[in-house]
Amino acid sequence: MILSVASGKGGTGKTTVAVNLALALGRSSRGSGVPPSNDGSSPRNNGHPPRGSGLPLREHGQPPRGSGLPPGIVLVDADVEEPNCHLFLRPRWKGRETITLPVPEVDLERCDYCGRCADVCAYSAITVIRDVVLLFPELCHGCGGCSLLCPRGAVAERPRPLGSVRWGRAEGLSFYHGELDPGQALAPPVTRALKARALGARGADLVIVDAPPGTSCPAVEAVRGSDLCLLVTEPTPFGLSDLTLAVEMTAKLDVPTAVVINRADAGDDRVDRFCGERDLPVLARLPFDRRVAETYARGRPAVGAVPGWEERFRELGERALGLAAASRGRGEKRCRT
Amino acid sequence: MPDLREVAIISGKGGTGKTSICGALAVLAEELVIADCDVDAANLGLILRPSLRETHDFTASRTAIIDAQECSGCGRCAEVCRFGAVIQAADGTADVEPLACEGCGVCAHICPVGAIRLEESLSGRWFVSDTPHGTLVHARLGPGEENSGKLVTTVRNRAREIAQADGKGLVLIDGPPGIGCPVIASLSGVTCALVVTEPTVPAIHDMDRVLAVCRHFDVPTLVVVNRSDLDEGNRRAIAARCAREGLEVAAEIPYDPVFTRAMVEGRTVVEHSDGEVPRLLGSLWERLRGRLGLRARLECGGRPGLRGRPEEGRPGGF
Repeated sequence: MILSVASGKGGTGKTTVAVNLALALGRSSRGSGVPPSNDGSSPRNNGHPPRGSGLPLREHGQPPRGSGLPPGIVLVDADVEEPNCHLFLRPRWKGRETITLPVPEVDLERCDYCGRCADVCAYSAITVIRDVVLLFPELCHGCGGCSLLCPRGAVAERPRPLGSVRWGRAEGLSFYHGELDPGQALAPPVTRALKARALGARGADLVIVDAPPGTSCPAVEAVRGSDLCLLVTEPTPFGLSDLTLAVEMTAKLDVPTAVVINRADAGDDRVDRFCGERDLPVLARLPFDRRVAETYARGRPAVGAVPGWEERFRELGERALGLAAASRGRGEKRCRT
Repeated sequence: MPDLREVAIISGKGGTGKTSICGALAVLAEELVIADCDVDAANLGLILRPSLRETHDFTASRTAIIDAQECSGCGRCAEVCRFGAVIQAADGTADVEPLACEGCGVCAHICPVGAIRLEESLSGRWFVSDTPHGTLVHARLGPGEENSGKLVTTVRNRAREIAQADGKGLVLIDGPPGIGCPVIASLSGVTCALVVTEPTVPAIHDMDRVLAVCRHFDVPTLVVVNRSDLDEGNRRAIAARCAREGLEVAAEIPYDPVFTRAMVEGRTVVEHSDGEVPRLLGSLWERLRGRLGLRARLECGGRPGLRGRPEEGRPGGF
């Protein structure tokens, strides 16, 4: 079961919801001794590119099997540009892997400057001017076309570091964290590698993915393949505008969607009306609570710190899991294999 | 040609108040062109009352299309695609998942029967609008689309052309959250960046990362602390960090629901009220104007050669 937490607009409370949801469900599953999964099937490759096709996975490394992580709930921080979950969880790290992208390297002994590599490159990452080959690795998407199609076999590939994936444990949860290096532009390869590793973790019954803001490729990469996407919004004109775009994104991805309204007592009722018109289930209305804002400011989760919030998030989690299980059957019929 | 300044408002973390502050500065600045470079989730239009003047298609992406009649089912395309975008049916015939396709075209080059072609797809639109405060260039990237960096560069280039044609001295850029390609495209070659943060552990963490990006591209930077009264310890930590790195804290603005009220009304906070927040934003604008040397004939930070001409800098499209 994969639950993603996303939003068009930044700062609506995605990380707060993802972290507290994982903590509240983790506590309740430990309490009852039953993992919150309902069908026990593995989420591996659910809606994902088949194994071996994701770039970094093929090029480098295996999912950290035998890495000592417990089964059950896995929290994945997929906001690789600005990851924040670890600030609240303070995990004990168990491993780290550098994520790289294969970029071209030209053997000038073999190159006859035919320019085929430059012709096939869709990203202008390689240019041939008479007897000079210019490489722009920061523009390269790592498609491998130049290397594959060079008639003289003069283009090899070298790994270019983009960021890293780390994993560890916190509060009885398994935790995966992706991080783009500052100055790097391409987030999606890091997200792809992160998800491949987290979803490949042994016994991952419930995977909660904290997605980046926005609706373009980094958010798509994080949300793709979820059984349910929770869109966190706030009842303001900015919140509504960005929620509308995020709903378009999840529709395009064919991911069932529900809404969490945060700071539900500020602003106006336009978000509520929108959800009503679009038949979007509103799973929670979280009130503004100064104590929650203060614990957030200090980097502490609300669950376990502010009375009443563990119950709120447990209830949200149970409703989300129910909805995800209900839509999962439908989703599997749609899945092309 | 007038000396053109470009200021990018960024934050790393979303929701710190970039757009509200950008809108207020646009009202205070007069004589400017405004570029909404948060092309995923453009919101400036909601408080600047734009009237649409031009609409343009943005077609930077290509998607592979496989002709099912021609496909021999050999599976070479699925083998070479590194983005997992080719899906093979049981009989071997292939199809492309458009959201996963990055338009590299390797499949089309490798297909032995020529069954694959690449089609330009409409990935968004960009607009020019009139507002009471200046021309607004904005955009909308289609949900799930790529090339947000290229769309940001398109918006910035058009804003700069309009500023030069109309003799405006300033382009104010409302940037996206994060540190990736649209942020780099918003930031490259600007006169200076305004980083909006708040005194919370996550916002400080994200500010550090976005400051590293500013250093990487050698962009002079000012910091604004929004909701500055949320946590006194963290507020002091930001001040100390900025002092250590020689960065000016250009404003500290306390939490005030007046921002939300103005937004609900569809106006900027300086048009909505005349309390403490608009006064602080007024003095932020005066400081910024001083740094930019607008009407004072000074370069930003007194360092020559930092004014933006991004077409000569780093390539903007990723």
